[in-house]
Amino acid sequence: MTALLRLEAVTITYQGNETATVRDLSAHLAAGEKVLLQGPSGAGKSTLLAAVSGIIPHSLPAELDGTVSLAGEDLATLTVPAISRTVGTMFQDADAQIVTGRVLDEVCFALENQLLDPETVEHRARAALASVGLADLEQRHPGTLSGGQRQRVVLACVLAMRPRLCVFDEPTANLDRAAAEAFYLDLGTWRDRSVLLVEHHAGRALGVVDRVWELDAGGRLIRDEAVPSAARSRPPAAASGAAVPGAPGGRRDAPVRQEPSAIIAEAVAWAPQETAPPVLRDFSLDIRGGGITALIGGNGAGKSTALRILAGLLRPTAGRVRWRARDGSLRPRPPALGMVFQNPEHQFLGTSVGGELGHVLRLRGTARPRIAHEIAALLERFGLLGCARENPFLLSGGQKRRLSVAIAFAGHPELLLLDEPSYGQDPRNVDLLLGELRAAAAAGCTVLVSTHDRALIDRCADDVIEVRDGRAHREQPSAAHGGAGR
Amino acid sequence: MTEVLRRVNPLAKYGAVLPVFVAVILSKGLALPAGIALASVLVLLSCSRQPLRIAVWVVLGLPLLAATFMMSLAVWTPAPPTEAPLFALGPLSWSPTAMLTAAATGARIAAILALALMVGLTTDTRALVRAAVQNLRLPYRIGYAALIAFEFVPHLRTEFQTIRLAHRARYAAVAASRRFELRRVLGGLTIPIAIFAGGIRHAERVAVSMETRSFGLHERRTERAQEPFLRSDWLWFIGLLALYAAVIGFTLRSS
Repeated sequence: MTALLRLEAVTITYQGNETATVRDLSAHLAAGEKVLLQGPSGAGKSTLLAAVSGIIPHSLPAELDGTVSLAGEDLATLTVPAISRTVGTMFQDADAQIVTGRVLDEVCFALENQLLDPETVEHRARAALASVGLADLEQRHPGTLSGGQRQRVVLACVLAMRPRLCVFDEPTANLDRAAAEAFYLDLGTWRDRSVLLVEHHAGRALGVVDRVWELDAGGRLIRDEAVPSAARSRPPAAASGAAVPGAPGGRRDAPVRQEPSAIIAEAVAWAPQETAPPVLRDFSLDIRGGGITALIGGNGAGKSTALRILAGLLRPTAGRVRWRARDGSLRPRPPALGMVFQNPEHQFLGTSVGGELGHVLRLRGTARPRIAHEIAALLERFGLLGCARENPFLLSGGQKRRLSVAIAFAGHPELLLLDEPSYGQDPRNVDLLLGELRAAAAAGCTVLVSTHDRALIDRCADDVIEVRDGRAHREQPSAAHGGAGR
Repeated sequence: MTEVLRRVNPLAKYGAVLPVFVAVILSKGLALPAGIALASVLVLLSCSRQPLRIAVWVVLGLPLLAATFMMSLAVWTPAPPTEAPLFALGPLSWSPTAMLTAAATGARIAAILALALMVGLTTDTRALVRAAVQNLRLPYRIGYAALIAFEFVPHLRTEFQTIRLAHRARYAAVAASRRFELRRVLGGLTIPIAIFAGGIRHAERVAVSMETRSFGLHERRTERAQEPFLRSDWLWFIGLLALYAAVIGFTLRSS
């Protein structure tokens, strides 16, 4: 079998960096083969994908030594648009991949550039949209969709191109469980298309990939081996749950708490504009203090909006929200809170990682002499050692997210709200995050997590609320899902 | 009322209106811009269907705007010292000559707005770019750059709202003495800078992801929607030009 993609002694160094991000990597990928690229956060996974899609060295300021060749052609001699006839790429940041003002136009965009005839363009685009469950939204503006729906749009764009090699960077990170499983089910049926993907939810991908490449923290390839067919035949859900058997402090071991409600929402409604359809209507719930509550729901159900309402950042158009103050009374204002937004870049104010943490600590009233000590502790707890002087915007995707989580945890807020905190994190960092969430809850903090990560829910949530049709539905966690995947 | 104006090739509308823009800007009197504004509003309302809100805005808002400009500009416009003011309010006075000059300026602004509304309310920006690419052989890379710049506005608006919420989250329940600290005020002032920097980052990423989706692969790209320049579009082009020429000729002769 001839290799479709061949990497020979590839070393990639970003401009201005002294050390290489990917080092001396040689590997090949056969036609029709599916490869999962693994490695700790910041190991250079996204960088390697960028080299395969040709944007390194053609579009990004980085130096590439060695050769990357595709079907025998050296990528250095081709342009990115020419490479894109063979390689379909999906990056981490879905927002930055939206070009047009309409979902259907977006999916047609690449096909139009490839000069396919109009009938083929629309036929393929509609088929791709249907396969990601967006057939009904083809006339919508991508900006009006939820984060998860936008990710599906980008996925549809790549699928419609029908490339010989698909390069996916965290393709399901923002998808709800059903959509993610449908995606991997579909991927498993591909016979003539190759795939190179990064997926922190390795359990899902291991069921369908043929081979695993693993990078170490220094960007070296330390493993290149075929996945035994036994692992492949295992259903994805079981594989993901089995990753961490008997994690300490699991939900079912925890005593049932009888804390009073920390947040009470009564018949809340919210719409972006007066004329727009409401995202939430008659949304009522009470959130127990000192526990971990998971907000779940399909893409576009209103989880992020609910989180912003419960943080007091958005004012409901009807109904009210009250928060319990330290003295036990219910107030119309939220207590000190830490919040993680879906896109971590939105919440960086400063120019250095350490400065960001220091500012939040001062705001939360940490005594001056303790600040330096606290910053160091936070950097260590969230796997950011050595990053104190770096610019937050120049961190890797996973590091940015961990910094935004560290900012939320700084100064022990009473309320923690996290929007997709495990996005783009490897299992080790998810474990770390889980430990932090449990410790915060044990210290009396009320934690609200919006997530699609079923494993995260199963391992930490005391309470699960589903946002559906603009309302809150309480799920009985142990009865419904406690047994799954353990 | 029909939607006929919406179906006209955008280039016919823009082509007919551009010389009129120049004529309005160069005009001196009151009659010419007033006539142009009136003609544009009539064409807009008779040849396209507009929601009531917009129709009211066009019919009442434009004259009101012109009148506001007239009254406020007239105060600053010098008048012959011998002329008696029409009326006065304390130190402010309105003389007939000043009123006439200011009215002409107000009418010019109203006429430009009316022309822009007539074309803008009946033309999809994407259709304009498509028409320019298909009929004027505008390179599609330039056309798309313009469209993406256009799509950027809603993106920036969402960015702004989210960043403001993120700032608000950081300062929730912070002691009052710190809640309005200088750093926050400065932080608030730097939001535009943050958005600008974010915008550049975003634009770079969008440009890269466009390349990975074959943008620029060929000299042409498939056009799913055709914007042919039909005989009826020529008729519209000539008809609109003739209408405005008639208005200009009539108003120039009568003044």
